Amino acid sequence: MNTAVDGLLALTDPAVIGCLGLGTLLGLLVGAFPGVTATMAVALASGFTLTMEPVQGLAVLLTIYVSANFGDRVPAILINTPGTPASIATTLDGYPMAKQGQAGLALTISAFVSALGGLASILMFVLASGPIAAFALNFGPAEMFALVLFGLTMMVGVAGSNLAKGLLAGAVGLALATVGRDPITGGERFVFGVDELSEGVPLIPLIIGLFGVAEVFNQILTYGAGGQSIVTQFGRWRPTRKESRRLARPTAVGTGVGVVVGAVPAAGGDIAGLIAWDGAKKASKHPEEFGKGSAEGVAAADSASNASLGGSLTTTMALGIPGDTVMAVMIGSMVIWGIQPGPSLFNDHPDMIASIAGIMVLATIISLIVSLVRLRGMVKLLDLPRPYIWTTILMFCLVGTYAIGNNTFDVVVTVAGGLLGLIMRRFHVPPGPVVLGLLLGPLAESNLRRALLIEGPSGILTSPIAAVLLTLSLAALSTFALSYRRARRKNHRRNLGESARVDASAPWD
Amino acid sequence: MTPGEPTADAGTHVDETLVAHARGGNSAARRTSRLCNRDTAVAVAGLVVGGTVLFFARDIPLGPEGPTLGPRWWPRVLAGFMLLTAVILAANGIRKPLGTEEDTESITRTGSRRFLGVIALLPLYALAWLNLDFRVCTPLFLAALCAALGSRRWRTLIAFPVILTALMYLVFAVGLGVAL
Repeated sequence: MNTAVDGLLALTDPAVIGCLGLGTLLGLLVGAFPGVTATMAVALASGFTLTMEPVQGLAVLLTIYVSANFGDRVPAILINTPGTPASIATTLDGYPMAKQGQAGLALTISAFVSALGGLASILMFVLASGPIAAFALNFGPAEMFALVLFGLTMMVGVAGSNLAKGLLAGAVGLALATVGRDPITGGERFVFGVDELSEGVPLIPLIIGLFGVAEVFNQILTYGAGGQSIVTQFGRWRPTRKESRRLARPTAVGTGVGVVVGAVPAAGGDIAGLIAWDGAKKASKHPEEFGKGSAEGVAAADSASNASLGGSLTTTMALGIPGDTVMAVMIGSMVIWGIQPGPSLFNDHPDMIASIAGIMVLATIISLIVSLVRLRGMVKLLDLPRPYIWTTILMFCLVGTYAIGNNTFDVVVTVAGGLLGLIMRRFHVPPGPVVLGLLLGPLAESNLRRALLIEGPSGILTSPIAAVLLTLSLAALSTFALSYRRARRKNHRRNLGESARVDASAPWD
Repeated sequence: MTPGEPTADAGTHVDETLVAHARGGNSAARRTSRLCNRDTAVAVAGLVVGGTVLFFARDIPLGPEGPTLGPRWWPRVLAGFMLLTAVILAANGIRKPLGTEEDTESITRTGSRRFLGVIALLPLYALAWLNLDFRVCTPLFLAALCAALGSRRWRTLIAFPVILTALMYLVFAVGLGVAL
């Protein structure tokens, strides 16, 4: 109990409160700008938070994580463009509501249900993460390897639309992780005489490059595709009592779905939102209104995407496997602070768990208040010229990377990562598995080699936990492969249909 | 978009090959797209990366475990996996029905020009930073960057670079004690 109190008292430090404010501001801003994702913002902020105390740094990073999930609803509702992938499902009913003159109502409902979903999932984190971590403490090398493989499989499956590309990206990440020192013998591998590589490929600079610089490069390259018109008629802002009552069921469905989906490694708010929207539609008395401006649709989607944060946090902190890409970046920062997420965190830094839960609660409450008060002001930000945003992000990426270790090599890695990320983006190769592979590579290799050296392959196959996790990985891979194939066929049939229509309408071509 | 800022005219200069591809292209283009689509390009990259890892893994010194589970083993496993995945990807790419390529945002001519400008400016900034004070070279770089991105207004070319440099200096040098 004392450690929990210590962890919460650490949040009363004025510097931490300042960090919460900074994180909220950054998170709402990045959320509101389409194309700037929470992963990118957290990667960017990692550059300057590494020099801070761990609690201060976590206050910035976690608050960005939470408040980006409030800010991204604004463009989703007003211009039908998700601020981050987590608000994809918000557009389904949010934008139709805005077009019907109910933008204010949609924004208010979104803010409240997001806060409710977020707080419920933090409660789940507080209650469940300890027991899960205690269970995971019994994991040996075989189980740890199977767990890492499961996390990688899920990331590969959900990160892109082509399984083979995702697998290749994951393998490249794992191969990049072999640069530096062998985790068992300590001998050098793939260093090629470059001293800076002897400790491995710098993780944070590469992440900043892959997610931050690459996104800016891509937006510059594709600039000029035309803009959307912003809805400026907000209508009323407060729901009636009857409307509020109707929102209870979809919010409950969304929160439940969000917590469960969030706990699955690599599955984030985007998937949770879409599943919950569909679930709420089936459970609704008015399913015909979904997709045409239903407040229930907004409630289900937004409560789910925010509820996924707590689930994701639970997986990350209790097992050391990132719940989503933001958490992958977060683990990178925590490792540099000397904090290793995973079962041992609950023994080594129990106060940190209380601090993390406290930061998440405060971030949710602050984001809710700021969202309700400043939503009208944030709308104006959508009109900011893109060159200002690109230039600012690029500068923060470069200087932030340099600030990690006053090292120009890190800056070179960031720019190279940016170019690599751009190429990957253009060729539809997801960057998430590369980061996860790089992050989990040493854990996967050392545990697999130890397991094989101690008991041989039978040690892995005869462990019930490892066997279950490996079976789940295989099942997930098969499911992903089948669903991709189905989606590709559907896409092909649609394209054929469109071609036929074009041919019929333009016979003189 | 504020007055004077670059207009979205770039959208009208979309790369013709991408437009042709999006429309299905002629029969010659269709034949080439079987071999030259994004999947086969990624597969070739995978083969190159996998082959490189396999080649350089030979130079890794062996540990006490010997060749079986030593430091070379895991990179070789990964290289083999990459080669296998690349072959599968290439086969999928070649067998892929035409017209099933996923959409990608079009690269615009204006965008390409601006991107090349940014890429050219980055090494120049690195050189300038190594030889000049951060407070001197950064506003110049930012002004050049804004110009490369299409801005021509004094507010963007003078005021914005000075303000952003001051902000960066305050955050990193003064606030976080980074030696810029």
